[in-house]
Amino acid sequence: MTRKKEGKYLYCVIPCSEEKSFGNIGMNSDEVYTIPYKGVAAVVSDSPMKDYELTEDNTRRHEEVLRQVMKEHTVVPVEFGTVIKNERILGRLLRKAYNPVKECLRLVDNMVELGVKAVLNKDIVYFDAEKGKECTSDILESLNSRAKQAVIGELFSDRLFLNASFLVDKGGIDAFSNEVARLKEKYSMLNFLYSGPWAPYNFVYIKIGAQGIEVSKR
Amino acid sequence: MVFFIDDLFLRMLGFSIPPFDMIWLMETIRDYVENIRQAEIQQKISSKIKENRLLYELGEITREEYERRNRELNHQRKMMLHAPKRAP
Repeated sequence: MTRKKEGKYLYCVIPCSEEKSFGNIGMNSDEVYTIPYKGVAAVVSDSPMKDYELTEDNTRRHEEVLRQVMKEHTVVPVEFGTVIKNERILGRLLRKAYNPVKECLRLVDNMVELGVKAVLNKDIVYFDAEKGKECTSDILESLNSRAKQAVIGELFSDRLFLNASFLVDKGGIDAFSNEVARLKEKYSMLNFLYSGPWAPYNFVYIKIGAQGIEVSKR
Repeated sequence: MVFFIDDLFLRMLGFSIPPFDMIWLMETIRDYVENIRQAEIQQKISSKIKENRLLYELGEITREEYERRNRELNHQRKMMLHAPKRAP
């Protein structure tokens, strides 16, 4: 398939030295492929220069590409909707961010993100705040013991007791899932929403804006 | 030629007229409070969007209900984003 020089939708950066195709799974059903640079590679698909609306379909497609890539590689995810003007600029960005990206890849090597939300059952009208705090810290402690790192998210609902993301080794997913199952049984007044494996968005992240490339890690 | 001698012009020239200064101070405080209020409303709408998704994932509302609320909340969010901002 002929690849265009202009317009690259950027999904993530992976450790990879070769040109590789992941098939036609991109944002506009375009081919997703790598552009390598010194042992790391940008995963892109050809795209017109446009703003991608943050719709469910678009985010799902972006996420699906990451999921496919994650089956074979460690990924440093890039912000949704990032389109780079051309391959030359992309190369320049990769050169500039090379060292922080390598560091991020080391940090999340063979790791995935798992999300856990603990929500109070809708039938429970009153729940003691102190008891709630105890539950939350017990849940966090149990899950932390199975994870390398955790990030606590915003409690955007009154019923939400815990909203956290955990960085877990791929080999430790089963043990983590078992721990979640155990906690589900222990706390019957809570609903657990367990999701993943995701790309480690909450731990390493690439954002490209007017100020250039920004690589962040926790 | 007609000049409007307003408080900003006078201040630029180094004049300070206490009543004008008081009005300027009150306007600045009002704009500041209004901007905080708008940011709080946006934060609340954003939380409601997430909560709506949560209720759908928990199976407490139907897909149709989720989409209807989502449309409403996103409309509110867009309206707030396009609301005129006051200079701090």
